[in-house]
Amino acid sequence: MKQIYDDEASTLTDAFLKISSLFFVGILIIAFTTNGIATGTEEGERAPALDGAAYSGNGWASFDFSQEFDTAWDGNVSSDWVMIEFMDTDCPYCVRSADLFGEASEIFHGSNPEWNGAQVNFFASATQLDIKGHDSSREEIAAFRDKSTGQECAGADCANRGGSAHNLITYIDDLDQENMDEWDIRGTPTYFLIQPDGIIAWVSNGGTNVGDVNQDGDENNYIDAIITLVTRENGGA
Amino acid sequence: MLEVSTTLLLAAYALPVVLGLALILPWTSPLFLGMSEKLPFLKTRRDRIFAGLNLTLLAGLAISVQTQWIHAKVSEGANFCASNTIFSCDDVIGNAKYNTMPVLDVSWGMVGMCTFAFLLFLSYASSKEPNATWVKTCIDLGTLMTFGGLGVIGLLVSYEIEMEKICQFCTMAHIANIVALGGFIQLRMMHGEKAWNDLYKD
Repeated sequence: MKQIYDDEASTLTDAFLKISSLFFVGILIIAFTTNGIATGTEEGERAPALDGAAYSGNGWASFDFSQEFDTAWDGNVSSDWVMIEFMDTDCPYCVRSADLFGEASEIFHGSNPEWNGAQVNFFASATQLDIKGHDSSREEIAAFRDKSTGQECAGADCANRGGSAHNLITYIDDLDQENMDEWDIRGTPTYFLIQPDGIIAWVSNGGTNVGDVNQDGDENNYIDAIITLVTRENGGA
Repeated sequence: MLEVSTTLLLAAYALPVVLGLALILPWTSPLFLGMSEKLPFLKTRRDRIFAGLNLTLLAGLAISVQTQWIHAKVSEGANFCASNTIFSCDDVIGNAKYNTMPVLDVSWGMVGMCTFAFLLFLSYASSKEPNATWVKTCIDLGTLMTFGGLGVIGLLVSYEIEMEKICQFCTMAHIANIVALGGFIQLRMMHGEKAWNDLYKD
């Protein structure tokens, strides 16, 4: 039988093995000397960036979400946690839950003497869902936050939503849905509780069920998550 | 202020790239011919280019491993080369908005590792068997990839301009790609010509 030999094949194999070895040595160095945390929207992952202008009551200004975090956080109670709500000012459920969200931003704020845990800073990323009647604008987002008149939120004047003005909540303009896509949001409202080091501690959609800690009849909501997970002064959560 | 260790590490990566560039440049022959008695691979132009290319690509691979390592460290919450100056690789590599390849969502460090490893394979295999039938394909592929790398470099530099920060390690990897492009282009020009097998003349 005629045999065909490729005299150059060994060179390619030899080179391939050598370079592959180098590549895997690099991978091993990284694997043994680091403990990387993926960026994502599941619990235990590092929260992705949030882009867009922010409104805290004094006009729209640029916003850098990364400034909210202290990557060297060691579990102390003095660093702030973050609660973020992905919402639409024309989503009826978001309008109905605005009362509780505003109240929670005051309860878990450092100025509340009855709260002995780390301060939780509240954010709302306001989008405009692709649904008929969900036309929004920065004016509408501001009216929703300030509970001021002249804009329509879910078919009624924004001033008529429940609760008081959200003075402690920063609203982020996500009308282009960029943040929503980045955070893989399937519906509004969706809530994330984020540790001071930027790691997601709890997700309302598909995350850990923390139960009904405050026994308000609403199981596993963001208030239960804050009570369960946020660092407290007397140690632990 | 940048850490001294970071600067030294950067210098250690720069050294093989500079040496690789010197080997690849056409007018640097007198520098190396004197050493060709002890180092025979410096005797011919073709082998000098291959040596320079292998060295540069090896450095590119090492720098990419370093950037991937920084990426992992920053994701842990640690600092490696954070700085208030324009040179802050932590700020660039740690920026979640820009630190992964669009669509594939793979970190740029890993993209660099795969690219430089493949280019090194092409170059190293060709240098070991320069007259093999597949060498032309390897050189063409290497030229194409490093030329395509210019587009990626342009994209990453635009990110740096937007962030107003420069990642020194990434820049060194970009320089390694450009030097490698020069090497592949020269090999491409030489391949098939008399100079390719001219073993004793420069």
